[in-house]
Amino acid sequence: MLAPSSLVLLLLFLAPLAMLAAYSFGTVDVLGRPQLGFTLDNYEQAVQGYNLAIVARTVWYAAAATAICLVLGYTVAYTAARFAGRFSALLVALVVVPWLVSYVVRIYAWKQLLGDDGIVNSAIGMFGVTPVSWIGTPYAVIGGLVYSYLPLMILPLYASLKDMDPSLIDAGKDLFGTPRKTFWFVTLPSTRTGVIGGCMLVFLPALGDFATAQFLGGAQTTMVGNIVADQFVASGQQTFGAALSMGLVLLLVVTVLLGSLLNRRRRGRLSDVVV
Amino acid sequence: MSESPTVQLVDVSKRYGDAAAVDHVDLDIATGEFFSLLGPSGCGKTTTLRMLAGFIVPDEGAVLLDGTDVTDVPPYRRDVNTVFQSYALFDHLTVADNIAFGLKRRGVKKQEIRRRVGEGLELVDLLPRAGARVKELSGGQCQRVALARALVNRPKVLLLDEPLGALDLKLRRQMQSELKRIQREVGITFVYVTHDQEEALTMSDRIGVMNHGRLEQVDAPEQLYEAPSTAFVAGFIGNTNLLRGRRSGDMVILEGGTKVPVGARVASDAIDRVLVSVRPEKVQLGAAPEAGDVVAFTGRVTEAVYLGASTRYSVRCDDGLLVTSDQPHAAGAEDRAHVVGAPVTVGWRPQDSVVLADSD
Repeated sequence: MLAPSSLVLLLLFLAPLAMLAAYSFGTVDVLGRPQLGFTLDNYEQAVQGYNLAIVARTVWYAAAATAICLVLGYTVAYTAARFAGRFSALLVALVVVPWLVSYVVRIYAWKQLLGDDGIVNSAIGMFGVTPVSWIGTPYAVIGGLVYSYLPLMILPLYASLKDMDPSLIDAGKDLFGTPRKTFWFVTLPSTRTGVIGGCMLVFLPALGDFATAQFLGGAQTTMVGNIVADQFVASGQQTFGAALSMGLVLLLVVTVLLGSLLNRRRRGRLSDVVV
Repeated sequence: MSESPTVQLVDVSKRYGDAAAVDHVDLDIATGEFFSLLGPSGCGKTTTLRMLAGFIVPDEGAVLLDGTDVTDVPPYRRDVNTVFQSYALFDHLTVADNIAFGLKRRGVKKQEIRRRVGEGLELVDLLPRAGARVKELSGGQCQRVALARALVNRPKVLLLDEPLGALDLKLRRQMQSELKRIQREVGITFVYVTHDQEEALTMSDRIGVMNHGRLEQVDAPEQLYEAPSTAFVAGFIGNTNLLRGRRSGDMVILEGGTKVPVGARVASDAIDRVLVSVRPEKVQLGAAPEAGDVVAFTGRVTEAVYLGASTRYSVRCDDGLLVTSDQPHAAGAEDRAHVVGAPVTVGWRPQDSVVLADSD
C-alpha cells in the first residue's frame, strides 16, 4: 500500500521521467511527433563530439560557478554567523529576498547591466577602461550562474556555521593553531556538511540551467540545457532531447552519489591514525 | 635566582560596559600547584581563566607566565592549554588525531608525535580507543580525550573550565580522583575553575574564592573552611550560622541581646556590624547546658531534617535567634535524637566561631 503522498510523488516525478526514458529510445514521425520504439540513434547523436564538447563546457561552467559561490558564500555566511550578532538572521534573509523576484526578470536585469551601454561598462569607463562586450562571454554566463545560485550556497553554510560549537575555534587556537590554520583545520572541516550541501545545491541546478546561457550567453557559450530546451520548445527533435536529458540525469545522479560519498563520515581506520 | 610563580596576575581588571567582570585581581600560583578558582556563576572565574589562556586581553594589569609578561600574547603562542567545558573535541578527527592536533600545529616530528600521543592515551587509559571517532565516545571518555589533548603539549599551566560539569555525580567523583592522580603524575600546574565547593575542596592545594569579580580569599581548603575571612566565603563554602551583632570589647552582643565571647578568630575589626559564624557541626545540642567554656542558649527545636549521616536541627532560641546544628549519627548516639518542640540547649566553644564583617 502506498501512502497518498508517495502516490503523488510517483505521479509527478517518476511518471514524467519514465516517459522521458521511453521517448529517448523512440523515433519521430514525419510531423516531428515522438513515436515509441527501440533505437539507440538518439544516444548516438548525443555522444557526438560537438555535443560532448558542450557537455564538457557545461560541467566546467557549473564547476566554476560552484567554486566562486563557495568562496563568496563562505565569506557571507561566516560574517553573518559570527560577526552580525542580532542582525545575523536579517542578513541571511536579505540574501534570500531577491529570490522572491522571478528568475527571468533578474536575468533580464543582468542583461541590461552587462549590455554594451550598461552600468558595468559606464562604471569601468569612468576609470578609462575600454567598454567590453560582456554578453556572450563565459564570464557573463558564469557570473549569471553565480548570481542565481549564491543563496543556495549561503543557506546551508550559514546553518552549519551556526550549528558549530564556537569553543571549537577557541580549542584550535588554544592548541597553537594560528587564525588561518584554525580556519583550515577546524572551522572548514567542522562545517563540511554545509560545504558539500551547498556545492550540491549550486552545482546540480547549474548543470541543468539554460536560461542564463540563453540570456547572457552567445553561440560560444551554449550549455546542455540550451540544446535540450531547443529540442522541446523549438523545432527540434524531442526524442534526441529526451536522450540528452537522460544523460544529464545520469550526470546528476553520479554527482549526488559522489557528494554523499564525501559526506559520509570517514571511518576511523587505525592505519590512517597517527598511532 | 629565586623561582618566580608559574602564573602571576598583577592587578588585572576586565570590564564589560559598566560591569567589572574581573576587578583588580592579584594572584600568584606556584609551580606544580593544583589551584581552583571557586565562585558562583558570573563571579568572574571563567573570565580570569580566559585571560590566562589568552582569549581575553585584560583592560588593566598584566598576566605573567614564568615571570614573562604574556598579557598581549595570543592563545596560539602561549604555553598554556585548556580543557573546555564542552570538551570542544574535533569530531572530524579520530581520538588519536584530536590528541595530536596541538603537536602537529607546532611542527613536532612525526615520530615524536606518535610517541607522545601514545603516552597521552595511556595516561588517560584510552589506548584501545585511539582510532575511535569522537561521536562514539561516552561523556567520561570525551573528558579524558580533552585532557590528553591538552596535556600532551606539556604546557606550563593546564587550564580546566568546569570540565566535570556535564558528568553524572558518580563519574564526577571518579574523575576528581583521577584528575588529582594525573596532576601528581605529570607535575603540571593546574588552574581549575568550578562552582562546586566540594569539588574544589577535594582536589585543590589552594582555592581562590571569587565574588563579583574580586578575589575574596585565597587559601588552602582547611583554612577557607575553618577560618573564612569574609561572610561570603563562610556562606559559600559549607553551611554556617551567621549571627548578626555588634562588637563590644571581647564580646559580641547578638541581635537578641545575648552576649557571646569572641574567640581567637577575628577576621574583621569592625565594631558596629559584625557577624559571628559558627558551623552547624560545631554547634552542640543537649538537654541541659554543658559546663566549661561553651556559649549556651536555651530554645526549642523547630525542625529536624534527616541527612543520613547526621540530622540537621533548627533551634529557635529564647532570645529569638535561629541556630542550626548538625548532630552526627555516631555509634551510641541513637538515643540522643530530639523531637520538634522539645526544649534544648545549644552552644559552641568560642574558638569554633569566627567574627566577620557584616558587609550588607
